[in-house]
Amino acid sequence: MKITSRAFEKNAKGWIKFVPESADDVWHAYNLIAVDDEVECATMRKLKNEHAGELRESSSKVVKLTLRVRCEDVEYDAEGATIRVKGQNKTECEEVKLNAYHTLEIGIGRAVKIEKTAWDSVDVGRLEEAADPSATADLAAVLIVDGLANVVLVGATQTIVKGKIEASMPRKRGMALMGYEKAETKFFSNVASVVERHVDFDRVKCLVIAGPGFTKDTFTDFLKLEAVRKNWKTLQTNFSRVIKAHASSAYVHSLSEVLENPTVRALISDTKAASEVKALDDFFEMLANDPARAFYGPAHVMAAHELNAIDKLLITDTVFRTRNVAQRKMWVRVTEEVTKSGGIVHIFSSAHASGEQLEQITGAAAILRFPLPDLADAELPAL
Amino acid sequence: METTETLVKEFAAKTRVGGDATAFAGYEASSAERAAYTSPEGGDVHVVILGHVDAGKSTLSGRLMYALKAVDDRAMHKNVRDSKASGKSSFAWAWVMDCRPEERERGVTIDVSMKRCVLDGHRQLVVLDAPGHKDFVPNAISGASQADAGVLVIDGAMGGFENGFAATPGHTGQTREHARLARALGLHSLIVVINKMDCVEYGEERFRFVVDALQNFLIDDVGFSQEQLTFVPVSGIEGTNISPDDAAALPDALASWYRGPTLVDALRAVKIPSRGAPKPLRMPIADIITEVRSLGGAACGGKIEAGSLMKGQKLLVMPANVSATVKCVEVDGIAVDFAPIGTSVDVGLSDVDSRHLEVGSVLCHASHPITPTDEIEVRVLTTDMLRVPLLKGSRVVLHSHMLACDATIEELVAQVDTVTGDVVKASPRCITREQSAILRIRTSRNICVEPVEISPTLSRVTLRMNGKTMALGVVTAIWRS
Repeated sequence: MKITSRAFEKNAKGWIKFVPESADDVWHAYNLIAVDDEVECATMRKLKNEHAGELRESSSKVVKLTLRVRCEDVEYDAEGATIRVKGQNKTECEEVKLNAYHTLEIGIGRAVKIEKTAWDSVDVGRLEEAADPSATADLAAVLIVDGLANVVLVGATQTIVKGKIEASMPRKRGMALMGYEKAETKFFSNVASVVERHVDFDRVKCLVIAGPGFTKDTFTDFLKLEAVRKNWKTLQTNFSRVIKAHASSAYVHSLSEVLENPTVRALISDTKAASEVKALDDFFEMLANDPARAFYGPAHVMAAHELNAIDKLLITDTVFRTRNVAQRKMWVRVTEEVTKSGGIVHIFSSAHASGEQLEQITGAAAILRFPLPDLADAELPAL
Repeated sequence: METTETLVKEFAAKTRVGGDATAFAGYEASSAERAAYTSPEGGDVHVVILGHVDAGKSTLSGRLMYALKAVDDRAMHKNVRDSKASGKSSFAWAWVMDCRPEERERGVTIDVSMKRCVLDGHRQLVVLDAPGHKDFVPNAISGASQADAGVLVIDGAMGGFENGFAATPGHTGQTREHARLARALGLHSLIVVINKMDCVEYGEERFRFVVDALQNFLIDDVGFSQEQLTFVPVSGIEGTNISPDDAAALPDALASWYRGPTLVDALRAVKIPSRGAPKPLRMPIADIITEVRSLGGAACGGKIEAGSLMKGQKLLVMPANVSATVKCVEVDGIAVDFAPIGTSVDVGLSDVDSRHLEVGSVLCHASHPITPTDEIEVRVLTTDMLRVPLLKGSRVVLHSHMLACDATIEELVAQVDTVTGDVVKASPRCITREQSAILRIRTSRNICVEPVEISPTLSRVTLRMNGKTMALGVVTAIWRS
């Protein structure tokens, strides 16, 4: 993300101007924009011709102008990597009435200005992350088994499934075995073309081919030959960056196994995705070994925090996107206090598999410094 | 005391449909169909060959096929010649079953192979040779789901049994997992074959030692009863104690103390229990067939788990919910007009687009189809392989009959007592190993399963995570919108 200018103080009001350079940046922007923020960027507006009363149809023209809108609703579009900000217009101009509703679209390459009444520590943290160029490492993975493949791009903030390829492979039942090789070749070439189309070796650190059994090996051999057959230059020159890893299935949730593979970890150790997977794994380990030190659920996490017991706090960014200002303030305070007392806070991206998993168990979890067995089993009232 | 019904919260627009044993009370079975249900003397006996990798399953299956005349001398000569040429002469028998080029190259079974032969005067034996490698357990599950009985192959050689039977954090052999699967998937009898007896000179002591250890495990731990188990010492590579026709050739070392049945005798003794009242057609699709001209462009294979199939019959393919007509039915390449419950068949369909046929789909009776769903309630027992407790949101792979799909645990409804089924704790924080629980699971796509009271075969579920079997159980209800 390119931040072109800024004028704000922590915990006070202010603004920033920036240009999102990638889908990850758009995701960061989505997490920064909150209800009541004022967002300004170039947009298209359809102007109705005001000369009504004439018998012919009212003509309208589309005008490009810069509008400032007070946000009432923010929506993220993963497909197009854009954000839509809906709200009332706060720009005084000829073309658009004050307080008329308008929807701004923010995307890659479009300059934006965001003005907030208060920039808290979580917002500041996110800006720092967004501006850090080293955190943009990507990983591509093909999870493959007989008859199923998922081609996935793991970015700094999001995991996107670029393609799911399914095929019915003949089983070894009597006559049906004929046609296995043909079916396999067809399946492999479909997967290969999805890989070629979506894996950009300039962005991606490595391509991991993963899965159970031997399919990953057979497919990697096929891919190498196909790259030569189809003259895919980038794939040919980058084949050294194709590595194989074992995974227990070809479903997307097995991606976490790929991210824990030692060879892969060595290459992507500093990425957010990898650290999130590790943190969640540590939480599950603790739950297996010493359950009174692994809490989840807002009420339990809060209770543990009040006793200053939190060593690691795991929380999804969805919690901070809440419209409930008081709730958000409370969680910001918790993250600041945990950090101050020497603990670690992991803000999981809900667009990664591990973030989704954390969401399923309420979005807030904590690894404690010491066990709290009575509290662990207690039924606490909802926050 | 809370019951499941009071605990499971109703949620918008979906109704919980439990198992109602009277669901098909109005079903009219044809007389031929009824006959197959009430007298299961003829027909197919499906046997799955299970066991840890390299226990000798495929070699044993090959020997079995030869003993039951499903493979002739000429075919065997070819196998011997070809395997020798590849430097894999010890695999000659295994190559009867392992026919995929990749399997032969790597010397390991990847997929379940199915071969048919004559068992005795009125029954055919369908042998399902399953892979033992831990990466291919899902294939072993599909194979075992079609079986009536199981053959658990144990490597009797010194160290071999120990390796396959081990259950330490560092290494778990497949013997235990396969045995548990066999029980959970409803196999009525288990023939435990102690193989590679030639490596221990057919010694009685070694045989007894292995049998004792296994018996304790299978009865106390897994839950088989004594009557369901038969222990047979063999040597697959030498062909010892496979068939009664070779009784004269039994080596003295074995004949001096062993008085039990041969493997074929044990297989002939397998009885399929009574099937109960006739139910409407259910055939889970095990295989999509594309290269057989007589079957046409939309063909599939599978075992008829309920009802029957007849040429010309109209049926429904679920979950696609499209109708189809049976163009022809073949058993091992031979066309038949009628196939009863328990038969493995290949079906050619007409009036249907082949893309609606998927492995895991079910061919159903036109008037009594399965209701597809993406939300099910199950009662499961977690295994000792579960390390990280199950939480709401845990991602699992669900296996049932021929289907496999990824799923999420939506709700931990209750922890229940393994024996009585009474609720121990409602809405528990997590479920740990060797506990029984009721879970609500959401699958990533619509699947066809039925509650256990309605269908024994289509209700069994296996939950796996990270390449391990974590829980085994049954469907107790489905949620229908």
